[in-house]
Amino acid sequence: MTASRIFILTLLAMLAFASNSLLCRAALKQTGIDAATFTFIRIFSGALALWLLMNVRRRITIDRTATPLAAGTKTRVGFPSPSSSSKRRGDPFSPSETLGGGSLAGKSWATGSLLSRFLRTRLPFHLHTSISRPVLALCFCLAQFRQR
Amino acid sequence: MIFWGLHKGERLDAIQIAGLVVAVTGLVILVFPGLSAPPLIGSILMLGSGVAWGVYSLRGKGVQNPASVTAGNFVRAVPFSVVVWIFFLPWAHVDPAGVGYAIISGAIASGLGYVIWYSALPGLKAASAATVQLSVPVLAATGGILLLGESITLRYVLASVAVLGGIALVVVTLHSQDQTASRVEESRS
Repeated sequence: MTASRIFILTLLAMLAFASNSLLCRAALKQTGIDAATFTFIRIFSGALALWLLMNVRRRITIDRTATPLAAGTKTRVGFPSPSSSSKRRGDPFSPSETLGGGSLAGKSWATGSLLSRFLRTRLPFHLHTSISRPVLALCFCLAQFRQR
Repeated sequence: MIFWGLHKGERLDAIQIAGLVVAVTGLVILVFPGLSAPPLIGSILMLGSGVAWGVYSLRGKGVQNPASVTAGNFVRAVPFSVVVWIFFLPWAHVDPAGVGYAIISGAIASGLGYVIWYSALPGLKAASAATVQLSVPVLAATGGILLLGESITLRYVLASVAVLGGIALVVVTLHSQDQTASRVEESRS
């Protein structure tokens, strides 16, 4: 991956996360939708979009492994394509993950998401603007200091 | 991300730490508008949300295929959101514009956003990845000014310059270290 490609992808991701915050505020402040309905529709459409994207990516990966001669034309997809073995291990619907840590992570994600949705209706803008990620980054900074 | 960076043995030099300090200071200036304490329930909820996100990030570190794991987690979160939605049904209010925002937020800003982020992540050092995320509130505040008609303040300008400048300092110096290292390797071989 070239440096400019990494830069553009990173910028796009940051813009997407920032627009999330804007969309939530616009929806909950300027339209009549309630936080619970908003959260449900948001998570549902997120799940649907990701599921579709993963299916598309899986198909591209399978195509490429099946027809090595056509690799040149098919490698230029937007996401990294891990080998099929690591892909199988990371399959979101595999039984081991459904039973193991994945579901706990799913729960904490849902809790976090719901709490932050709820917060957006209760707190002034500056306090709830994507607090969680910067807090994590802040922890990283503190960890760097403690090390010295 | 914290432990990942430490585990990989990435260290920051003085310039990078200075950049981090500037960026974090800018963020604190941007996020906390005054000395007034936030409401108690809000603070507790915010803390809970932060802890849940932290647990999620730590449990998710080092997974083989983060994008597809995220997809699975979104699918698993759907039943929970249905339960909460049913619980709050008496207060439910469906608004077409609000539904549209929710779909864009979920499908594009979250779903596509995560896929893009996880595709960029292998190219970033853990320290850069943590640092660039400090830009999100600045971008959100900028969007609020451009799109939601919020007023532009001197504090916003100063804080944004500090955050973005700090991030640039960290990322650019990390990157140039890489180049120097590879040049040394080349000259050796």
